Amino acid sequence: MNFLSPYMLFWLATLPAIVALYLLKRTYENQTVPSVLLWQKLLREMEANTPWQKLRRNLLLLLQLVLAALLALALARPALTSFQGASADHTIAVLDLSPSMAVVTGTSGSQTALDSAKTQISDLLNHLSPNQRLTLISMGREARVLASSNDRAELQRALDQATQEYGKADYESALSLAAALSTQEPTSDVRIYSDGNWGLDPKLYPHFGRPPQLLQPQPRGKNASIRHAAAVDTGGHTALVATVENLSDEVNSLDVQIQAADGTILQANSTLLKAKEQIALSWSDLPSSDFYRVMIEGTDALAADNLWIVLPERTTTAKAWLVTASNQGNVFLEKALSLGNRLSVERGTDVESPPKDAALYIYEGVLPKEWPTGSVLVVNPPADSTLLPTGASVEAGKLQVLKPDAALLQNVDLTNLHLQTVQPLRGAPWLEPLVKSGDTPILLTGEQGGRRYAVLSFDLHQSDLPLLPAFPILVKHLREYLLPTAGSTLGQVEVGERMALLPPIRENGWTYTDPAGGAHDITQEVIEQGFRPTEPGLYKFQSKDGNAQQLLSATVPASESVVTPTLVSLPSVGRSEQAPAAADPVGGLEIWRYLAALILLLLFVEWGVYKRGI
Amino acid sequence: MSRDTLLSPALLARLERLRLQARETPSLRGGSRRTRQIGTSIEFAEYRPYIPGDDLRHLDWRAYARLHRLFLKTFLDERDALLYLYVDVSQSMAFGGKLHLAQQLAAALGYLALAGADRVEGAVFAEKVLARTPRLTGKPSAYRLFETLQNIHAREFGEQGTLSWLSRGGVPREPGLVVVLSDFLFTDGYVESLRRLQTGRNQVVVVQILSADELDPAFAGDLHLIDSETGLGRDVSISPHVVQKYKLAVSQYTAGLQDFCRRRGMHYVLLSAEDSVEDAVFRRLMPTGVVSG
Repeated sequence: MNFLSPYMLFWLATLPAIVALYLLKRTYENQTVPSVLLWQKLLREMEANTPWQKLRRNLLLLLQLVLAALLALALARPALTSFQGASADHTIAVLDLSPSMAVVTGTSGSQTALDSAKTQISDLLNHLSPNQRLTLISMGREARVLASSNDRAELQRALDQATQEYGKADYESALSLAAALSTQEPTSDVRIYSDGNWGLDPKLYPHFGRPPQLLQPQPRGKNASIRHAAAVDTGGHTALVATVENLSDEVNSLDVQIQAADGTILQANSTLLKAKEQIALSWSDLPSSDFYRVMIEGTDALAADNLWIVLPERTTTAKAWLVTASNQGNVFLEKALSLGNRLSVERGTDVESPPKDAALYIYEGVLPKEWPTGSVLVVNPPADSTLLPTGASVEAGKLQVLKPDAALLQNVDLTNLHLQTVQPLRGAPWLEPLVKSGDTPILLTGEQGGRRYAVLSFDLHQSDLPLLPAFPILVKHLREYLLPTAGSTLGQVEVGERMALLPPIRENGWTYTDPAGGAHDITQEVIEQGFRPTEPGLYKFQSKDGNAQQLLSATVPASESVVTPTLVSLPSVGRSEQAPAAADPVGGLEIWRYLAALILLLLFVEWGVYKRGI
Repeated sequence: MSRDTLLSPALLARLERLRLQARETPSLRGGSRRTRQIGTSIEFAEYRPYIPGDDLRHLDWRAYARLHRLFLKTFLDERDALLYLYVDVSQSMAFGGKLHLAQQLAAALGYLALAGADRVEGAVFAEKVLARTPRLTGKPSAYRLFETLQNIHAREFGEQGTLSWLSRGGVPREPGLVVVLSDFLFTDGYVESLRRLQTGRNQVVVVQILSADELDPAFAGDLHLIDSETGLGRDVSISPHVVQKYKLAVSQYTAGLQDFCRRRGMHYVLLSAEDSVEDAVFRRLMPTGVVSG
């Protein structure tokens, strides 16, 4: 049993006051009578008949004390369970959906903090009186008002639809939203169901109308997480390094296991970590695999951060074949392409006989009669080519970046680019211009026949592009664009991060499998807005024919591994005294009505005692 | 205070027509009260033969002339009655006009006794007999009785009313009709004293006078009741229930006294202090037979 308005218990101070009044009043009024003979007789008789006669004198006092105590109790609004119903007219419930809410709470089962928070809100809904309103705000990837109503069913539906998220949550927006709603309605109550690990500067906390209530989960068990893991595959031998951290305040023994793609256990380590300790584990000579699972075995408070899918980086180098009009090569281009040892550039002489094993074919000033089998970079296309017909050279004009957000132009500053002449392309509508000089495109990209093309339609020797700092970056982007299949991995991202899908995944018919095993089509919307993993684990992308497969590893943000609740004091504009005040009666769990009935009954008894004298 | 304030002339006139119905008492004085003894009244009783030594004045000479035998003519004797009026003047009688009614009633009884040629002795008592009138005879001496009665006042606080002085030789030597006017709220009881009085061949009339407050208390709340005589205090929370119980106790007490008197052959009259003296005499005393018209 708890009290919804415990401060009302100060009325219990009336008890001593009543006693004091009795002590003061208890002086009997003197009344002289002819003789007390008969009274004495009567009193003796009454005392003999009613042994509690001595008590009787104080019976009124006792009854009044009980009445006062009951009144104070009733005013304090006792509720039978520990459940605290909504007291304000408008309750704003902020529900944290971040990964740390997936922590296991309770003594048994796999109930998570989010589950218990939802149960609590559901209880709150069930005890909502018809004139009370509840606004449910999700504190997830985006802060959103899920529902705002006094309709329980609608609120329950919205609550049921709120699911665990594994990406970084937008705590600040959710708090600001709740604070804004709360300041609009100063009588509203804010309840935040979260562990308080928001990583925000306390100075930036928004001001609430009233001090909000933070309902934090109590995690069961210790949490350890894999902070990072990476692997390098050097021709069949893989070296793997993983960082594990014990986030609990106690010593924790961790069993770290490494599994290959087919599920065979490659290594298992047992490590003892001190409180808050972080250590790096490394393995070498692991057999080659598409990916590795690094897992912390055993029970753990938060399971989501116990698995890290490692996609090994392959150090195999691809071959680029360069042919120039002058047969002298292009030093700038060659140097820029071979940066990072990912590509070995080979100079060719005969434009019509390209090697079969090159991944990238670079033509500067020349073009063959037909396209080779790999990706193609064309620099300064010749005027007489049939593959890419060009017009007469035109004067360079004002530089215009058409798609500044294209992946190819990230961190590429072309404002200081100076050109002499530009070759305008005729035809080839499948090429998309990214940068224009005047009306003439100077950088174009496109895909045709399953391969990628990039065209720089000016002579590098007649420009200062190779001298610009942007040049190596642009070349790197071109290389990544043209050779996206350098390995079968898409890399590693945090859950919730948007990732641009690059060719060939942009093609029709690609599908992906999420970590849970569900197959999904890649829709146009995903291609346009980028792909966003929603849960940690391995995402497999497959082409229509099933021949090509690409992997993506999604992990939980490291900051979410902290599951121990943090004490947060949120500022409010209102005075803290008025916080839970102005409470209207709510909920069927309160028992003040029964107390009131009892008080009424006692009043009758007291009246009877006063009137009859027992 | 004139005697009119005690008794109105109209009442006095009515009282003159009443007589005390005293039982025959061995009085040595002649009076207006016929007795069964042979005496000197004008009422003929019987003839009896002369025995030497008899008073020759009572011989019936006419009978001797006819029969030549000496017969003595005897007459019934007429004696008076002796009325004792004992008035309780303890502090408790000062409440609710009890003493005033007692004074009036004593005056009325005394007057009608004197008017009937009986002797009257008045006395006031509290712890003991405080004052006593001489034995009064004759209507004119009623004035002295009235004067004495008018001048009595209730005693001060601290003196308890009791009848115990009767047991300590207070019983009058000459038996008579004893009227005790009191509230009979004696802490030491009344049984023994009244019994003593009766053993002295006295005819006892108990007149209990209680005030309205005693019969039906109008108090309320928590009271510290103080006894007017002893100063003894009692805390009582007055409630209707308690008042009801008290009334029961009062009626039990008066009924106890009445029962005692009935069994001992005494007369008992309960008067409320609010009653008028006329009511007391004509409505209460007359039915008991103490006075008759």
